[in-house]
Amino acid sequence: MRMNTNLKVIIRKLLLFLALLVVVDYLAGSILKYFYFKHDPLIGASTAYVANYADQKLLVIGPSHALHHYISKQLADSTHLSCYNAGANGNYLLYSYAMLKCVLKRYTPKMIILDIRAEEFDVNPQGYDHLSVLLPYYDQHPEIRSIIVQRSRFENIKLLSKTYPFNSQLLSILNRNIYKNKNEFKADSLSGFIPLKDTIKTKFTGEYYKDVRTDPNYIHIYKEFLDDCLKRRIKLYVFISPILPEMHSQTSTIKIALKIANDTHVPFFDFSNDYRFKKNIYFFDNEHMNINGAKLFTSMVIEKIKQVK
Amino acid sequence: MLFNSIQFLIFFITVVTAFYLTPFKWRWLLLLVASCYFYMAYIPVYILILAFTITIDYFVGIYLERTKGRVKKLLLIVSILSNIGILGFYKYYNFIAGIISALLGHVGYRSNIPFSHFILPIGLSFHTFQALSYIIEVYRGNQKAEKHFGIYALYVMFFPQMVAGPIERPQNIIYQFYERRKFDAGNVSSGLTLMLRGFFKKLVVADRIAIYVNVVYKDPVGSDGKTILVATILFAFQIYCDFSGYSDIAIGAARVLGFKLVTNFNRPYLARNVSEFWKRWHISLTTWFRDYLYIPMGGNKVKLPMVYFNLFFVFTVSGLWHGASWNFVIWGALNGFYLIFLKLTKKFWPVFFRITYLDKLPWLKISLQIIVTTSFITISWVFFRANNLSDALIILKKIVAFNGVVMRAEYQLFYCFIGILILLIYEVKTEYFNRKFSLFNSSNIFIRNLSLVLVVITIVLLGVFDGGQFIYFQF
Repeated sequence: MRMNTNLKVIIRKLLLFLALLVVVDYLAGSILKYFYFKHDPLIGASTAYVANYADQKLLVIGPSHALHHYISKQLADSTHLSCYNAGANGNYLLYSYAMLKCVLKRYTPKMIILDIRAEEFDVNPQGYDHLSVLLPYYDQHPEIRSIIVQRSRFENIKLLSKTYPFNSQLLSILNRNIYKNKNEFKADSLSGFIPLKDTIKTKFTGEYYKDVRTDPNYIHIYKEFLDDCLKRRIKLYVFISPILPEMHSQTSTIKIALKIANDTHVPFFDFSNDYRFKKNIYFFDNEHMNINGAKLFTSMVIEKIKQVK
Repeated sequence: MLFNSIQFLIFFITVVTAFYLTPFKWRWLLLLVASCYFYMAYIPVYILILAFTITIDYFVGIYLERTKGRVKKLLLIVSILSNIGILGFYKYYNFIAGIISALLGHVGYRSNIPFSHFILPIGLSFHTFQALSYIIEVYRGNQKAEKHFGIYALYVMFFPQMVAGPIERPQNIIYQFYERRKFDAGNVSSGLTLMLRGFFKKLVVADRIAIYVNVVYKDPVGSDGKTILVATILFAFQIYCDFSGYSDIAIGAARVLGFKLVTNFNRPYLARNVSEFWKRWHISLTTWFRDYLYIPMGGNKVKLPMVYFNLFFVFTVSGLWHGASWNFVIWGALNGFYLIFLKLTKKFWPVFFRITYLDKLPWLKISLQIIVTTSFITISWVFFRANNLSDALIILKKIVAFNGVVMRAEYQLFYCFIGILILLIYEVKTEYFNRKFSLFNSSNIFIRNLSLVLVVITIVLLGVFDGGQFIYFQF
């Protein structure tokens, strides 16, 4: 009898709690969604821009290397194609593929430059963790849901919450809506490209890359990326950007990526160990080139594209 | 299985439901099976180590009760050695082998002592201490030997607290396994609230701070002094929220099942001196060392120099309990030194407060005491967190130099501050204004539930969901 009363009490409490949770979660999620997508997509938020608005003929897709190494204007001037740099800090191949899917849903660019890192296929949980930036797009973009849910085993359950997609986004939403970050303005005026100004002081010596296990999923995604582009007859070029430290041997990624590119006849260029870039003046840090390096590298990219044409 | 995972939530809901549906006489079995499953989620084969020590301690306990004199003492020693032996092998072998190799190297011998590549069984230090507690209490006659093997195994393996405490005493928990637990709405409600507090501490504060601290402490040479100082202060909150968050979840989970575990943390950063801090921090371990090491050594009832030695020794051992490295030894010793200093200056402080008129400004006095205590404790955390001794020294030097700028790491630092601010407001309110502005215990059911819902939303919005395991698991 007492147990029944207790059970009734707890069920009543739980129901009230759950009802309130659903209401508050829905309200908070809706408010955050409104402010997340409210600001002008051209102001910062490269992801929002690429996913929903980009219409350029030439897109540069990739991680921070892409973002800082490919000067959109230089590429546009020489190829005579409108260009946008869709590179994103801290994001890797899964993100790049998601961006491609969003773009292909709306239109077909003429040319895509895909930048991958020399260790792109290595086991790297961050490649999955950082997909969090795509969570706000889960509702709007069904085409990338299969990628987003790879974040974790229970991502589908977490996404039942309307607030969860905006996890860790609160300050960025406030900032974009109130202050409008200066860097983001800079990015807009340069069609996505963000230049780095400083020069590295001390170069890393020693073995920069240690080959670890590769993640078959990353390799699969790379293949899918190439296939999707080829199916839509997009001119695709795969580049590996220069890094400052010497590499004593080719990484597994480079070998695998090169083989897949050759098999599918996609032009592939590996600059990771290019001696012309092994100078401090071209680099901001060991992996990212500054504006001097970006200018030189972009001109070499243009050269390679012209050679292929 | 991590508390901060969906797997645990599914596991927990299943266990709770099954627990209340299972007839009373089989509940111990259900909890034992659940605990085995929980433990085996890490490295399944290590359950055999637990089974080995549980079996030895079970029989030793029974024989301890039946024997007297030298045989009794011998049995105690056998049990202690088997427990400490396993702990020593897995946790301290490489440390000791390293010291011996270094010493032999100094006198010109090249040693070839092989290093162990075994992974430390999760929570080994915790359940070893819990098992030792049982054996010592039976030896002392304070606890009857447990005749039911399953209940004894459950005492060591009870899943909410088996991998990171609180370290229970047999007198507090074993009898509870025999009590008929009725479903109690109050227990379930307060247990879930406690778990929620734990999740907030872990996901919103500890794991968020970890992102910043890990970057800085990974490369102290490349980090500026101001950044290192901020990271060190943040680490003080990280370690607190990580560990006390775990304890809250453990105590809350046990309470949902109707069991009452000991309090492990009591707002330690509001302590007004180091001695008080250690009465509020990891209480189950501090009292373990007090009862089974400090007091048997003579405690306070010996000559003053010996009291100082006892304190210093116990805290150094406590440091070693946390980890097999000189960093932990220094961390423990430093805290022992703080306590000795406090005892030496015991008569000075009342005079100091009187002549500085701080006695007349109690709030200022309390604030200063809290800040000074927390600062000293924070300095000691440097040794706890740094990767090695040389890193710890570099970090301290850089903090003193106070150069460079504070790394903001985009919004990370702000998120850390938001979490800490919410935590501090809650802790100060609970400590000093417990009866006022009560939201979580409001008599209005709507306000009470809305407060809890807002905590959930805060966790969902600000929490880190891909964070790692609890720091104390490694101990």
